[in-house]
Amino acid sequence: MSHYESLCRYAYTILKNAEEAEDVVQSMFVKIWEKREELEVKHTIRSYLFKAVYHQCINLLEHRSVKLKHQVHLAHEMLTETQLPEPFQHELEENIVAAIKTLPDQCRLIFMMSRYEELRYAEIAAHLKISVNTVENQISKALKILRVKLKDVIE
Amino acid sequence: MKNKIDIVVNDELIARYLSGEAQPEEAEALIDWLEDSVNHKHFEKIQATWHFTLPSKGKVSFDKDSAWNALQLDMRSTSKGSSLSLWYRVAAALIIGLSAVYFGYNLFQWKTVAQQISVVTQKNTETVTLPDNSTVVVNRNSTITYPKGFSKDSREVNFSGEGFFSVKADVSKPFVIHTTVADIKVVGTEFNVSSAGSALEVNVQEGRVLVYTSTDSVYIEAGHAALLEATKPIKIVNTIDANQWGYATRKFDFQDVPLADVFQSIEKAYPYTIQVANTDIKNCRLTASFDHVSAREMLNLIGETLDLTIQENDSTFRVEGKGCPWVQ
Repeated sequence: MSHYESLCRYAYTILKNAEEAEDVVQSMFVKIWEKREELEVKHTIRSYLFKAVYHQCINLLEHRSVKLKHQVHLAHEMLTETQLPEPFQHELEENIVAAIKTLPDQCRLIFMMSRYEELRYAEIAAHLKISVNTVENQISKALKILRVKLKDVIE
Repeated sequence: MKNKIDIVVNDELIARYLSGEAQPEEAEALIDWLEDSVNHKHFEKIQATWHFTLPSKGKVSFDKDSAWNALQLDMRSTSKGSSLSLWYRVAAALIIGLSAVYFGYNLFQWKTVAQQISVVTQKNTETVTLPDNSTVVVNRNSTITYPKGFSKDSREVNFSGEGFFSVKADVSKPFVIHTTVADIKVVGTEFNVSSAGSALEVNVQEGRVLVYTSTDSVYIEAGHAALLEATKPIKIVNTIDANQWGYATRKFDFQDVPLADVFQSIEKAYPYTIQVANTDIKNCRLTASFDHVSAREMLNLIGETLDLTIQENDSTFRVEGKGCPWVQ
C-alpha cells in the first residue's frame, strides 16, 4: 500500500468521509511542499506524515458541529429500545441488526455510539461515565462477537 | 523506519484503528504489522465486519489513477529555487517515496468549489428541481444555492427565505439544508422551511427531519414544527398549519378559521393584498377547502358563502360587507 493510500485510509477512519480524508492528505502534501524550507522532520517522513494527518483530522473534527444533546438523548433511547438511528434503519440488512441485538447491553450501546453516532471514545466515556479503556474493550469485544455471528454473510 | 516504541498490534488496536481512535504511531505500527500476509488476512476479517455493520461508511477506495503530473505542476509553480538545499532533497525523496502514489483526480478542483447554481426569487414563487430530482417550491424573496451535481455522499444546499421541500429518499446521501440559523438534515420527506433574520421555522408535513445548530439538535416528526431564534434552545411546536405552505401545494383547508387568518394565508400564497372594509369581516369564520383554486376564485367563493362583496383593483382585493359583528 502506498503512503498516499494508507494515509487516506487512516484519515478516513477518523473522519468517516472519504472525500474529506483525501482532501486532508492532498492538502498536507501541498503544504509540505510549500513549506519545505522551514520544515523540520525529526523522525521519518512517514511518521511526520501520519502525525500531520492525525492533527489535521482532529482539527476538522473539532470544527464539526457538536451535537451533544442529540447524542445523549439517543444514547438513552438506545439503552432502552435498541433502536438504530433512523437514517440507517433502512440500509442495514436484517442480519446486521439481528447480530447487533445479540450484543450485551453495554457492549451494544457503546458499539452503536461509536459506529452509528460517530462519537469519539472520550465522548462515549464521558456520556456513560465509564473509562476510555472500557469503551475500547467493549468495541473490540463487539467486533469479536459480530465477526463470529456474521461469519457466513461476510466471508 | 522502525518505531522506537514497541507497539503491540492486537485486536484492540485494530478496533481502535477502525473506529478512528488510533494514534499516528499506532497506525504506523499497524501498517508495518500488515506486511505479514497472515496478519493482513486477520486484519481484513475484522475490517470486513466493521465495514459490514454500516455499508454506507464501509469500504472505500482512494483513487490512484490520477494526475500525478498535476501535483508536480502545482509544486513547480510554488518552487523557490535553492535546488540543492537539504529540503529540496527531502522533498525529492518524498516524491520518489511516493512515486507509486498518484494524487486525487481533482487536485486542482479540490481547492475550488463545485459549480453552484443560485435561484433568487422576488415577486414570484419558483419550483426548482435539484440534481437528485428533489423539488423545492421557493416562495417569494428567497434564495436557494445548490451544486450542479451533488457529491458522492451528501446533498447539500444553502437556503434563505421560505421554501417547501420535497426531498427524494436516498439513505446513502443525507440531504442537508444550511441556513444562517441552523442546519436541517433529512433522508426523504416533505417540509417547509422559513427563515427571517435570526429566526427559523421548520414545519414537517411528512417523515422526519433533524434540525441542528452548534449547541442544540432536535428531531422533528411529521405534524410538528421547530422554532429557532438565534442561540436560544430549539422550541418544538406540536401543531402545524399546512395552509402556511399553500404557496407550494396550492391546497388550503380551513376548519372554522377566522377570516383574518384565512386572508393572511391567501396573501402569503399569492402576490395579492387583501383589504377589509371593517374589522367585523375579519371575525367571520370559514370552513372550506380549496385545491388548486386561484386567489380570485377563492375570494369570490368566500364572498358568496359569507355574503361579502369582493372588488379587485390591480393586485389588491377589497372585501366589503357587514361581516360578523356578533362574534367576539
